[in-house]
Amino acid sequence: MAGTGKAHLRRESLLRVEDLVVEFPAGGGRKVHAVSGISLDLCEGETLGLVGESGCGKSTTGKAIMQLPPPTSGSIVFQGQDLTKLHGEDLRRTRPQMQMIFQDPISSLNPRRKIKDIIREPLSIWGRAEGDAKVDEVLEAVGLDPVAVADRRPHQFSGGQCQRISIARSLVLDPKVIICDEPVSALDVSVQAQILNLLEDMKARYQLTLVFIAHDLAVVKNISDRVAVMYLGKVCEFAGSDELYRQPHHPYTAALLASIPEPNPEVRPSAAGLRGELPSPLDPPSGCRFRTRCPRAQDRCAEEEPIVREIGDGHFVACHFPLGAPEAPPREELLRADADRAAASP
Amino acid sequence: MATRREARRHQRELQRLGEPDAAPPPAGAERALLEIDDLRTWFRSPRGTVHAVDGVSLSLERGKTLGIVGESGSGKTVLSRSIMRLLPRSTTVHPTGKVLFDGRDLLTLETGELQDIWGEEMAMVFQDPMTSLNPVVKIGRQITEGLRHHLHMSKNDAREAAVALLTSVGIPEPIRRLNQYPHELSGGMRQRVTIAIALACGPRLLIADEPTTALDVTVQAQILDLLQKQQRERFMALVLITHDLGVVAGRSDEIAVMYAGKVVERAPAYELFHQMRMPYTEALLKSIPRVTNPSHTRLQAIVGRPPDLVNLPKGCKFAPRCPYAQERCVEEEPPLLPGPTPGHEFRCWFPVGTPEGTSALQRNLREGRIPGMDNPAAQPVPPDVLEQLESNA
Repeated sequence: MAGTGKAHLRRESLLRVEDLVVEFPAGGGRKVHAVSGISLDLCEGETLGLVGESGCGKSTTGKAIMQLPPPTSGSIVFQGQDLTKLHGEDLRRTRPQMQMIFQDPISSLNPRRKIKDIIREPLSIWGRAEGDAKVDEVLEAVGLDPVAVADRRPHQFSGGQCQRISIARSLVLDPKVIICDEPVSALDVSVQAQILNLLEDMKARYQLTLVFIAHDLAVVKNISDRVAVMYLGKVCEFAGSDELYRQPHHPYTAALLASIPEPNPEVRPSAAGLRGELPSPLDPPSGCRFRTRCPRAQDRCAEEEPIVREIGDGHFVACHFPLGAPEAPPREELLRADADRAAASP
Repeated sequence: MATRREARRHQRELQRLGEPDAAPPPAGAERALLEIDDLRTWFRSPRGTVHAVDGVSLSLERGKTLGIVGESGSGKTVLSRSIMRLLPRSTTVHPTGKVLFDGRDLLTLETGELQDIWGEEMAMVFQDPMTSLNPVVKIGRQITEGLRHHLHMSKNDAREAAVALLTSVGIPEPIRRLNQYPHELSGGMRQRVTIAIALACGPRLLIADEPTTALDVTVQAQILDLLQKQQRERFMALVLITHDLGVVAGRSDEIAVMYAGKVVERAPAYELFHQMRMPYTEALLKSIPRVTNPSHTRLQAIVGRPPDLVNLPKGCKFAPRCPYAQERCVEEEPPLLPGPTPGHEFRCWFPVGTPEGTSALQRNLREGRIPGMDNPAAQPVPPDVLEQLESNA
């Protein structure tokens, strides 16, 4: 796209994000176009990976789903309720269902509080009776000894252990959805593997649905069922994770894949797949937002914004000239197909 | 100021000529640019002495790249700062051992002498480009500072040199950048600026301490390419420090793996990946998620965490987390043993890929002594991994 469109949305989903737009005022009447019309959906028990460079709007999307802050426009339907229409107490009531884990595990824990108090706080806020038993249960679930850690404070733990504590805190209210915002980016590879395994185990044990945000494609592939590749506030490509990596159709996805360092000395690192930097979200390029860095860009890319279309089973791309797939049909045709689909669904 | 420094430099030169051991090495045996011999850097702390770097020996020739790999807390950053002599004086027990840079022992130099070496002879690129640049000084002045101080360039010459440097590190519109502040640049651009500063005075040794950890994958590839290109063009020695074996794999001539302040395996890059002997190196490699594996592949994480550097275990420091560990490993610390090819060394009693190692692993599997097996919540070893281990063994 990096473009717009909803061809990839499914009928039944736990969480459905449509035409999400998030803009921030930037002074001088200008706006930061952080997220510009993306649509996503998430079925129960699924892990959706959101991947892209810094500044592509992936974290903003995660936060907008949590209504932190509410998006500029668009709808976020969670269990049949549009969160963007809820306010005050009604919105608060939905919060225990959705939790978040942040990138920096140390700064997301209050350094002055004991671990047991940090984890018990959500329970006391909601007046749940389970108390200490529940705290011990989640601590044990994330692989920490409740007796040894309960009375200690965050600075006494390593980054990996702090991330376990954050995960325990997010689990304590039995949420349905957890949004993980780069939970392993600040960790060493060895600890990263522990946390990824732990998230998989917790997902199975507590029947969670995860949104996993990261910039590392290898990490995202490992944990996700479906992956959305984002670029400058738009979705580029959307597919099942094995399918996406087997045959990336969007030039941006291919470039991202090419920049993963391979732990093999015989693979000479190829010259970096991508040149230049992300354009400013204050003034995004016309047409396809990726065209300024795209090796396949043509005139059409500057004039017309690509629309998400299906080019394989469950594989969607927003590109006029995708790799290994035919050129996109004219815009009107795609819009008509979208409208037909919308009319057909109840 | 400049004259005083010149006088000092002259004096040092005279001193050096007068020293008998400063004689050039015999022909044929070219001296390595950097030679580290049994370096120990300890810190005083309220809990006791922290053995951050504990007997490291390494060497690096001009034009070569040395990759140093290890987890947080393995001592790789302290090692690089010991080489640069950038450690806090108040808590550091004076480092012992030798760090020979072109024949001079850096550990014996005074601060004044070090100032002539920093930037001119050896330079460093740090992990976080935002905190290593001064936020209230324009990019231009941060680059020209070293040029003016060390190379005594005029203001205009230094400015021109800075533009050339910014161009060579791939920064568009270099003239405009000179008047910008660090916060006006993206993370990748800032790291390019710190590289330009490090390269400004043409150092012979560049130490890059996790230069890409704070950056995106795409930018990471760009920065690593840039470092490699500059190293080739300038025939510098490069020390590349990272926690990710993937980063150093295709870009180093030699790789040293550190654990608990010691080098546990050291080999030319190709050897290390093809004939690794140290279980820790194997574990590090296996914990990297690979795009070639299908999604939801169980990762083989390393159980537990690195040891406390105040109370180090008696035997092999990796034994508590090692799937190969036997009684001997807990009792007796392995020395650096020669590997299958010259230049390959490792510290292990039951090395990977040898009959002893294989039987040790099998024994542990039979007796259920693989770390993490007894505590499935902490680190479950799933059945498929066990099968894999068994089939390997």
